[in-house]
Amino acid sequence: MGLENYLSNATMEVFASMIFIDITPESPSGEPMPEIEPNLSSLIGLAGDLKGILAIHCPSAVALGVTAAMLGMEVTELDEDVKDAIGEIANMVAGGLKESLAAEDKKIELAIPTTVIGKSIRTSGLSGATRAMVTFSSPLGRFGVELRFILS
Amino acid sequence: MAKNVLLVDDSSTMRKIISRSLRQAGLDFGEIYEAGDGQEALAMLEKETIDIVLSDINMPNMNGIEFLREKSNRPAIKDIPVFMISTETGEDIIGEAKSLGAIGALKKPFTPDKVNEVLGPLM
Amino acid sequence: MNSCTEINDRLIESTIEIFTGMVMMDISVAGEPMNKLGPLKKSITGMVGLAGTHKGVLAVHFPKQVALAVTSNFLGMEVEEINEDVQDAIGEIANMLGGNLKTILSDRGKDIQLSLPSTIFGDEYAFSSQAEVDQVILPFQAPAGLFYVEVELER
Repeated sequence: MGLENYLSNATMEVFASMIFIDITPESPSGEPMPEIEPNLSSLIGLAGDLKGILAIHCPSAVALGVTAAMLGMEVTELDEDVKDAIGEIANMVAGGLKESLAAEDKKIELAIPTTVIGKSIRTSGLSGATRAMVTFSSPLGRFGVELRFILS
Repeated sequence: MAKNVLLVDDSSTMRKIISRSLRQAGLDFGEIYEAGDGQEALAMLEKETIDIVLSDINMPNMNGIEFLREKSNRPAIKDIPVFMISTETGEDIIGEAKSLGAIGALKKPFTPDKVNEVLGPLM
Repeated sequence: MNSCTEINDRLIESTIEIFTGMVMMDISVAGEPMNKLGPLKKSITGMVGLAGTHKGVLAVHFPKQVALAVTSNFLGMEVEEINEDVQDAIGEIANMLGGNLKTILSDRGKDIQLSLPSTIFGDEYAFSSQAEVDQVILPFQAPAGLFYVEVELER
């Protein structure tokens, strides 16, 4: 269905517009990519023609660096600003996905972003859901954008 | 001449992000003031010299639409140009904003080029 | 806030109903509604997003022991670790609570849809929404321990 493409494009657009950090999507080369082990995950629910959950998974270094770039200030810990910044990225990537789906005549609405910060956090959707995942590399490290969904 | 901007958004993080975006656009912005909702925005407009307003739509206390409505009733500030900051909100809300006096909209995520395109003509 | 108390009461009612009816577990309210939860240790959180005229999140936070007990009752099987069955069971609880919350809010003429339920788990994590939300956390007592139902609604 090309959802990986939508995720990739939406993420690239957000990073190119408001974050000014170069990111490169890692194309699946046939070999399994190492899992992202996040310290921070921002999740946002999607409802409507597609029911899903979009997540941005970041190790600390990426979350801190991205926030610093977005806000134009130094950020040394995973605080409110980081939660809001990565949450906002999740919101905008989901917004981009919404636009791409609208072009296919699929209508979705967004919920609100929630951020989870911790040690060895894992997220999962319903076991029957489809999973689309794109990982990116950046000067700060790798991060992932994941969509779990079912079509209504 | 440097233009002063008022950013209206309930998220202080979002205001910092937009502030940074504006500075990156390279336009001659002077002071960047901030307000957390429509009420605060009206108070700031009455108090400070502000040339352009960028406002979010969804805010507690007084949202972007209510802000536009109230602003249009105040002679001292009604003509200050307002641009809405939107996310994936539909065309209809922007339409309503424009009918209440908003000049245009900037849809997130926006590039410095987009900021230039939309705000440049006012500088 | 009047509307909040009413929502809280109905949510408490439906949580108890779901647990008594579907999970076959007796639970009771464990105190006043809270507005902050510290970091969650060795826990699992089920969550579902609400979208439409009201945007928000419903989350239910279970310490491991309670999650295992809930899953055992719900699925009629013993579980020892947080595995896929536990994730699904907890996700389903969040989904049902979300559905009830949707009805509670919809009664007032709101048009709301639910997202896909998901779960988060880990050794230690802090869970938070964006700053500008109305938030309430309802504590419940289950035989195996305390758990919390959290609602965040955009103002």
